[in-house]
Amino acid sequence: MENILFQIRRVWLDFVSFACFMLLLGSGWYKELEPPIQLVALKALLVSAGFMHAHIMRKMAFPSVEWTTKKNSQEDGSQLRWLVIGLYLIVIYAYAKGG
Amino acid sequence: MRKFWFVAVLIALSGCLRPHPPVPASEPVVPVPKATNRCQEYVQDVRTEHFKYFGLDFPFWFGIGQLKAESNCRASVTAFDAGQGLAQFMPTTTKYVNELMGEQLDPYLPDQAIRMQAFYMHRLHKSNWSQALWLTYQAYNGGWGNLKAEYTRAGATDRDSMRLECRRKTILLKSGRTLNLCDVNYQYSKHVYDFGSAYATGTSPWRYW
Repeated sequence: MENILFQIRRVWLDFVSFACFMLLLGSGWYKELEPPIQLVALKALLVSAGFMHAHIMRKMAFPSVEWTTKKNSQEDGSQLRWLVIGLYLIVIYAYAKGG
Repeated sequence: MRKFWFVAVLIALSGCLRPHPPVPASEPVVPVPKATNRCQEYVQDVRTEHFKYFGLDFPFWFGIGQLKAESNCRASVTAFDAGQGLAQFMPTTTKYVNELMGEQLDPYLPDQAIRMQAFYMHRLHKSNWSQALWLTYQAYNGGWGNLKAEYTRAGATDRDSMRLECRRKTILLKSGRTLNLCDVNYQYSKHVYDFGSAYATGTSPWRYW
């Protein structure tokens, strides 16, 4: 439970923006906005949703990634780092393209 | 614990998959027409651009139907009447729209043609006295002048009545075929509706007819 709360705190910005934009779009208040702003709101919603989705996938499917490499360290986690970056890029792009 | 959640997510996702019913041997497999595939690649751009000008409620699928009606979704085509590209912009209309948009967009580039299409449709729609989309699409095809005259003569915004009052010319093509511009214009809105409906993803509060 603590771990889940910690992860939610890490993505709080996307969590809040997702909730706000869902409320805006779901309630119909978006009709009060100019069309370009409506589109921005939709895109922001999709990107936030994509980021959270990618984050959950990464936490469940991949081991933790060491983002800083220590001097003289024999370990090279660059492949895993690139895999994680790729995962986020692909999922967010897929969500964003959908709208 | 992590493995449990991973398996649970996989099971949940697999529940979203629906097994395809087996195709009976006697039924031939009908390939998807090439034109449908061509139009499919422009769906997302059309949706984004039409949302940008009209809002999220707009039935963007008619924009795709319009591209199919105009050019069969072929970006490089030039028509006999000099219509250019995906949205079949005339050279003078391209110049006019570029002046209004303050840009130099190329009607032969699909993403730019779609931007011009959405912009021009939005501009045309502002002159639509009844807000029914069929009128705006017909204005895109043949301008507001004739439509307004036909509306005045018909006395009502009724497509059939206005069609009866249509007095546009019939042109003779090089092939010997005649082209009745009344038929062209009044069938245009029907084509946009029929072609576009195939791409509909839901309902819209916008009125087409």
